Amino acid sequence: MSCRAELRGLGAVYEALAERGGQLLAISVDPPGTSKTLIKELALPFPILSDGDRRVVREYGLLHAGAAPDGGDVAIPAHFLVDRDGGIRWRHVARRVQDRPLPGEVLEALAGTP
Amino acid sequence: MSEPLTPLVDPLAAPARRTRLALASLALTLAGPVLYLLLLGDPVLRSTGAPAFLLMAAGIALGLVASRRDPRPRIRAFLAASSGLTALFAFGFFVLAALPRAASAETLEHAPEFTLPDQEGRPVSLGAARSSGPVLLVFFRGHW
Repeated sequence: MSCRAELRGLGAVYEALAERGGQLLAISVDPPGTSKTLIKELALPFPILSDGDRRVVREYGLLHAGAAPDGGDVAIPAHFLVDRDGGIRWRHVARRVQDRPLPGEVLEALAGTP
Repeated sequence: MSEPLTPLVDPLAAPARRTRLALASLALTLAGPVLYLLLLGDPVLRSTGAPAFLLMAAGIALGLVASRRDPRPRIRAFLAASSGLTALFAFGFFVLAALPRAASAETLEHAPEFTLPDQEGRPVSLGAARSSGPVLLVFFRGHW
């Protein structure tokens, strides 16, 4: 199952955030070089941060041990909308590998975030 | 129906047509997972699997029709293949794809602070990012 397809679907959300002076930060456990290739390949307008030691993934409670094709630990797919004060305004945590929030849901949450 | 009359006269034609119907039912079932993979970029289709399950249900229904009209074992084999394929897809979709429950992620109230390198190795901190507006964090599994 391709886990990159979802990234292409984030364009509208990215633009709505940019209009508000906000940002979209994607995070994976891939090294920066791999993310760089992915961004070029998919022409992504947002950065991908690299959590190589899984510290942030663990802090957010998203560690899925041994789930990578090579047996490494990866993140459970999740979205968090964070306001200026660091409060989490909305979230979507996947229950199955293919679960993703609807773009409309994200946009609605964004409209309600100061 | 604008079917030519000759196949109705030919005793072999009707079974051949029913074989084609059974074949079509399996093709319809197969189209489900194929379409699912092609449309992975759409979050609704991806999360619900609706078009895939609809196509597979239609494939099984057509296979049932075919095997009712024709009791030959090969027609039933097509129906069995469609059913097996659907069961396999459903197993993957619901069971294999299940993730561990991320209880603490679901109750976090405040986003933990972090600084991580971006794709160029430049440090990016959540604190700096959210000072200018809302931030959407998207954790994903990786490049594969």
